[in-house]
Amino acid sequence: MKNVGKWIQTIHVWWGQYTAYRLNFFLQVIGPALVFFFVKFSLWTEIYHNMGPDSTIGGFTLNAMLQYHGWALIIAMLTQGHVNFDLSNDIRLGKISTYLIYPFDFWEYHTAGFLAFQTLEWPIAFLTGSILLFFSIIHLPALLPFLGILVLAVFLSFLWFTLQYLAGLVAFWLEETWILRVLFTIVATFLSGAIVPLDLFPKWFSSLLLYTPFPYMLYYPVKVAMGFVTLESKVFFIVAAWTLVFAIINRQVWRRGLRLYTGAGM
Amino acid sequence: MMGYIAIYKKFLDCAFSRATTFRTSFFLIVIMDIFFYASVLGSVDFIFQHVSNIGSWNRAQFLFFLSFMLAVDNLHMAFLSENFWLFALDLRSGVLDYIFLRPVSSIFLCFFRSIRIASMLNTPIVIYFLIHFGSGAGLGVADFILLPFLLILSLFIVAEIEIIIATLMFWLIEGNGINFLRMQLQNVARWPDFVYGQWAKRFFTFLCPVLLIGTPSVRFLFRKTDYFPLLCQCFAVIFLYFIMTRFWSYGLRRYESASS
Repeated sequence: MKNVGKWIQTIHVWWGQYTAYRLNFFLQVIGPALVFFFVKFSLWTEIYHNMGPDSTIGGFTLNAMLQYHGWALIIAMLTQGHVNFDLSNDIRLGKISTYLIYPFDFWEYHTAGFLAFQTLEWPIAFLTGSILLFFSIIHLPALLPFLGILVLAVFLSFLWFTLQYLAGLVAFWLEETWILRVLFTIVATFLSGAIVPLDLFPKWFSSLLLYTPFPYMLYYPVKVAMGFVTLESKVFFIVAAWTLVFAIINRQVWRRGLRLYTGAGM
Repeated sequence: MMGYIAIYKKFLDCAFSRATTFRTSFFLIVIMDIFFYASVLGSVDFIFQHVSNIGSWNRAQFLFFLSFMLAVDNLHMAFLSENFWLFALDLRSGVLDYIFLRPVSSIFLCFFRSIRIASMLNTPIVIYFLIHFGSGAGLGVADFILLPFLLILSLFIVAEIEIIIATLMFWLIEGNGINFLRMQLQNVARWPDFVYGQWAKRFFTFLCPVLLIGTPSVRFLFRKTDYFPLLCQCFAVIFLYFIMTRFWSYGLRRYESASS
């Protein structure tokens, strides 16, 4: 409990950093999600354009497909917005030396940054959702599944954070960690069904994906939001288990990385 | 001109020695690009397992268009991309002062100095996609001879648009947001113009002409009577060059050294 004050103060510091350049924040964080949605909206509208009004692709009508991508936008904003650029820089430029003597750990500092980001991103995601709702692109599910999705989004955002954290920690060994981050984003975006719903993937491939965390990162919550599947409690355990696995890996990587760290310039 | 070629040769030498120094990063870039190509082509291929056409294009035509854009992207990654990130960094840290003092074009030094050798390793893969899907789309020998010129034309437009956008960093100081904007425009350009609605198409053709990067060239390859958009593309290269140099000079006047 004695650390709560430090956490709140650190979150305040991060808010200041995120909002110092507001246009930059918008272009970096919200812009990509909106443009991605705009492209997908246009593409799918064109694909369905030459087909009949009730035609379906992989079981999706045009409205269902647009709703899928509308919800994909919201879920992505709630869970995948946070990208930690500072973490790898802190390691590469030797700034972690300071954290090693601070009474607030390196992981605590960056987790506070993640929480600060989420508190800024969630209202924006709700606003975006309200606009999509207003234009009838998405429809609200019943209250209980909706609350379930929000809780699942919290779980998923922590999973995303641990993965981003891992990509950042690789800076102990790699000069340029952005490559790993982009590589992971490309793979996760594709395999989580953000570009094309997994229903359109070959059956053998989508079955194989169920053994990975990817479908739960976007496809599953979107299908729950659309009312196509019911939210199962085991999903929370699956996501929590993957998060725990990556948190343990992070801890090991941090320890091994520290042994390599020389704190140049100190 | 010979001076610039000599400087560029030095840039290439530096790029090669950097590539051999950071070997893990080098191979990761190769893998990253391959995954990117797989995700772009795979997504559209999955869609074409359920539909026969998107707009008026069939699977081979659409995949050829994507391959064309991937080829432009490959050239962009190899020769340009990294410079925009360096520019943002240099602007903030005051390194630009030393660049502006040199008796060489500042645009050349800012946007052509860093070359990514790793991306060049993937060029044969992209060429394979172009030939494979191009043959499927019915392109002839003459079309394939024309292809490199069209790719360079497209690369010119990308470079000009992105340098114009990057010039905005003189006003914003923190340039990463601008770089993300640049990447999003690449995302828009990656699809043919008929995918977009009327207003979006007009906006991205005339005001922010990213749709002129790929669609006119590919349309012309598919149907030679469709030459007007290609003429517009050529005109855009000249017009954007004029805008780019003017806007850059204007931006330079706004530059306040971070180190002074």
